[in-house]
Amino acid sequence: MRIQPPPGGLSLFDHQPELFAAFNRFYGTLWTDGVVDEAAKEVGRLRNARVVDCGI
Amino acid sequence: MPVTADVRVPRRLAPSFAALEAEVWATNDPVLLDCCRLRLAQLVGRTVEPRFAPADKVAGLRRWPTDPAFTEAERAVLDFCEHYAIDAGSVTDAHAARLHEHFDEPALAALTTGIAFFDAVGRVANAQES
Repeated sequence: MRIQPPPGGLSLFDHQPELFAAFNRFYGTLWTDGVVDEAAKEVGRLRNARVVDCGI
Repeated sequence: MPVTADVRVPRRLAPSFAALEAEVWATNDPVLLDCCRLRLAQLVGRTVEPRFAPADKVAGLRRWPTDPAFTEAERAVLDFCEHYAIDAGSVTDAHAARLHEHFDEPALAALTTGIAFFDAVGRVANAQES
């Protein structure tokens, strides 16, 4: 892992909890609100991950 | 911290988007992050106004590898930033090692998030205008 989590943390985001919380509030709104259904958003998420070779 | 006018955001997303951007600025060196924001915009053919980057860095940004306005730490970040934006798979352990010479883990967590944020903003803005 190129950025180690802090002791007791699970991911790099645990270094910046307020930033992570702000990201999660935005991300949650992005998923649950708006005119595009969640299945279509998921297709975009997976396609983006494949393009950058992310293993989700 | 100001909220970006770089991209149009749906009204219902605007509050959480603005809060995220404020936190991105608050957790980073604003001059360094602004240099990344400006460089990311250059890479996709956009022009955005500087917010925190001083005139000498703005003027030299296209020549960052050699321009005297930039420190070695800033060059390490801009090198990573360019590789991340052009092809994330081209980021290497050498990039990470170079960043670790200048920044600790919390700074890198904030920096990578900030770069990802403005990379996404630029891509979305381009899509909105195309």
